[in-house]
Amino acid sequence: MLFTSIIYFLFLGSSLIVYYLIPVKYRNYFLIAASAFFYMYVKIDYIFLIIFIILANYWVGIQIEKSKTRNNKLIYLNLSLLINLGILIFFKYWNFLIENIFEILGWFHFDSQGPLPILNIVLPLGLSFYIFQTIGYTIDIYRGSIKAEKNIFRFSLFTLFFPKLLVGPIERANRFLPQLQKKIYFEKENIIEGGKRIARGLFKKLVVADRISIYHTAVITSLSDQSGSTILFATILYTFQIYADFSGYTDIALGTARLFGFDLMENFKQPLLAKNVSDFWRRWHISLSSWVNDYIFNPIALKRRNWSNWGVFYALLISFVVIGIWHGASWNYVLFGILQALALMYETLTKKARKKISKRIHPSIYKYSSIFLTFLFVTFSLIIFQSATLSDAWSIINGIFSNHGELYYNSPSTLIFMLAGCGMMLLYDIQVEFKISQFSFLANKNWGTQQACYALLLIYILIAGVFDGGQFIYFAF
Amino acid sequence: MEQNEVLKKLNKIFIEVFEDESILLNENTTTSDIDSWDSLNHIQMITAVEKHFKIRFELNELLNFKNVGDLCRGIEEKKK
Amino acid sequence: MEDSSFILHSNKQGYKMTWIGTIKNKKILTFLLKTLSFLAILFLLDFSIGSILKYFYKKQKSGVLYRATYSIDSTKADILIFGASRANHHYVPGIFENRIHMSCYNTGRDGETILYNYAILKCALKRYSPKIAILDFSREEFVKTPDNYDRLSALLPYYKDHPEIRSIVQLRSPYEKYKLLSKIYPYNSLIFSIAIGATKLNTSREYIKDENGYVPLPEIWDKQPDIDTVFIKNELDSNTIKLFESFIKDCIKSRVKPYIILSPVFIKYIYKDQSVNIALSIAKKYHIPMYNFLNDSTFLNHDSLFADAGHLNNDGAKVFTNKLIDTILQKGQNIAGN
Repeated sequence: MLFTSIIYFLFLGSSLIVYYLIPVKYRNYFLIAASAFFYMYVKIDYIFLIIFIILANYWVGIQIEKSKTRNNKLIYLNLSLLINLGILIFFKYWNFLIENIFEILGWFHFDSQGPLPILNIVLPLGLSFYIFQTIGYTIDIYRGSIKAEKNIFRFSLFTLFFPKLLVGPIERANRFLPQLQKKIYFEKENIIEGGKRIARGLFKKLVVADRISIYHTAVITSLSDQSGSTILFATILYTFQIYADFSGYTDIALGTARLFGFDLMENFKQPLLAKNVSDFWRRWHISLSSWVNDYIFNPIALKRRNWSNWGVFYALLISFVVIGIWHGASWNYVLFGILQALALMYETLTKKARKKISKRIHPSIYKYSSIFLTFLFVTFSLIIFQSATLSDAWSIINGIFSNHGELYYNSPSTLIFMLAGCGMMLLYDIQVEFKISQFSFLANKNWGTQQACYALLLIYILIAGVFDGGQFIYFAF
Repeated sequence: MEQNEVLKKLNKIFIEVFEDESILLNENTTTSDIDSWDSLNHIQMITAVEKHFKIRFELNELLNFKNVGDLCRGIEEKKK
Repeated sequence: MEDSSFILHSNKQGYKMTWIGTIKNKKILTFLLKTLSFLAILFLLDFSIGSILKYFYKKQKSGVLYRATYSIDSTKADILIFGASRANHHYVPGIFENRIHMSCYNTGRDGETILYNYAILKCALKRYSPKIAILDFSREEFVKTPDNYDRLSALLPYYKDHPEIRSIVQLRSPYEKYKLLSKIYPYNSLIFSIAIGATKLNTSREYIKDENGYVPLPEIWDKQPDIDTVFIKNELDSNTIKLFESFIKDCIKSRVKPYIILSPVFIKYIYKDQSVNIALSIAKKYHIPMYNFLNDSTFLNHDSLFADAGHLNNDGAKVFTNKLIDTILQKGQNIAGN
């Protein structure tokens, strides 16, 4: 069920009505049923896999806690890691591993005698998100940060909760499990704030992301016919597209959760206004980057603290390759990760030098140049992120510098729609980031003004949104 | 070793590693309270602390420190 | 026990509980009222802005939106041309008028398929009976393509006033008729086109002012013909086949003479096309003339007649229209009415 489809809103509306009509103590059970239905609607087979993952981790979590010795705890943890990672690797990386292993064997003249055991595996939607969430849960129990969830229903809802099931955020047990223990009562604040958030998400997805997508796809699929300026323009727009797409979808997820009285973690904090690459990764896909930070980077960096800088670099490299490859089983994602790691290494080494420069230049100039340069780096990284192969990425980069001609923008209408959408989205982020309240519309203190603005927002979505097709880019994770 | 002493010594180490004279630690200080903190000087800080107090932390102890107070208690435990 | 559930359970706690219950209910009531007022604001905005959009949409004086409105609401030409971009850029009404002395209008529209063409025919037939309907047909016309339904958005502005096309528009999605309750929805994505068209800029913005719906292409192609050796058995869309047959049947019923034409492209095809074969069999069934110019050497050898691999330019269109008329006259079809 796409978050922007009518069927989703019919599902949401009816679920909400039932949820608030039934007695409080049954509300969580209803959510489990609704979430299961939601997942089965996407594909009916998925439910079996997730039930297995829920039961297995529920049991293992309790075993880890019950174990008296550190060693025993570790054994159970490793068991859960084996199951969780095993499932993830199988569904996601099997073909990638097989192809590359045989490629390497081929270099040593060990050629396969028959066809490669490539399987026709379909990656269940949301797998990468909830497997990571569950791994975090078991590691937290092992570390003693949280207690294992003894209530199987609560644990099921923790994993299955439909707003975050398909596209995250990757929740943390210490943040979300306590919420599942509370009784949820109807609060009009939840409905209003949840509704507003969904409206903003629909705007980003339908008006900005899907609109740019049409243009960007058209340019990228006809690279050789496009001028350098067109390719550059499309590439820059792509950064806005992917931000609008993912954060818009996340807004709808968080807004939905809020409607039911839950508070999911923020996944984006105005990332396009980041001042450097480390700052960017504290603002983009926060649930993933903080997960990697807590469960991969920190342990490795601390373990290797004797290596001083090299320990940190080693940890950075592994962390960002994981972040890269989490997105998909292909080398461009690995390269994307390496690029981020290199950027962070650079920033670590030049921290003092950059601080000196910042003191000599006017603060505003330094601030805006930093934002601009970071944006440039992000856009460049996304060229590699979006290209299926390295030669595709090269075609884009090469095209920008060598193709001649005018800017092609299809029609004035298309151009206005895209620029207006990006502009509105950016203005909202600027306002939130720099806490400007004078001209705020959607965040206006006057209730009447705010209501009018949200009405206009919905109207603008009707006027400018793309309603046909438009797939969410992050779905194949 | 008194807790106050540990905290004072920690403060000195923090100022040196983070190169920030304005740092004033208390029980509840976390990484988000210190502007100049980042992943690199966090590691440097830990190694400096271990060197100064002549102790070595276990990995899971390090991962469970939530604030400076936890760090102090961890140091005291090790010195016993 | 606090419970804001609407289900009233028997209240043994007496007066105090009822009082709390009423307060809670009042809160919910005011919330519902606020929601209703928000919806009312939305409805008002939708209604007023939608009406403004409709007004300026209908006021277009040239351009693709104007041509669509003219095709659906106004034209009374004896000869109507139907089809996609090839129809729009290949058939010159002026030549029909000079040689056969019958008025002609070109309803062709870029990117549209038989779904759209049939709708235009229905609208025309509701108002009058043209003498001839020329349908430009393309290879792979019947291949299942979801985009084709998306492009039916071109018909949304006409949904309300033209019940005859509603069933076709509803093919877009089962929720289409609910979406169309909004007055703005039919004009989705059109606001800037409408605004630009409402100003004088529009006349110069299109290639040239159209000639009775025909839009000439000035470019000249300069390449060798592409050779298409692809043979894929695509899944076919039964809707499109049905509507194609209905197109022919409706013409016959209203005493309109249909012609199915495959106009030239600058591509050499090796394999025969499924859709063309199906169209051929349907045309034969109803004894309708179908003429295929795809392999015509007059065009395949002359890149100067083409604007790009898929479309004739102005010169090519003139040559083609003449050749088409020659063919029609030669085959002894009685053009002047039935």
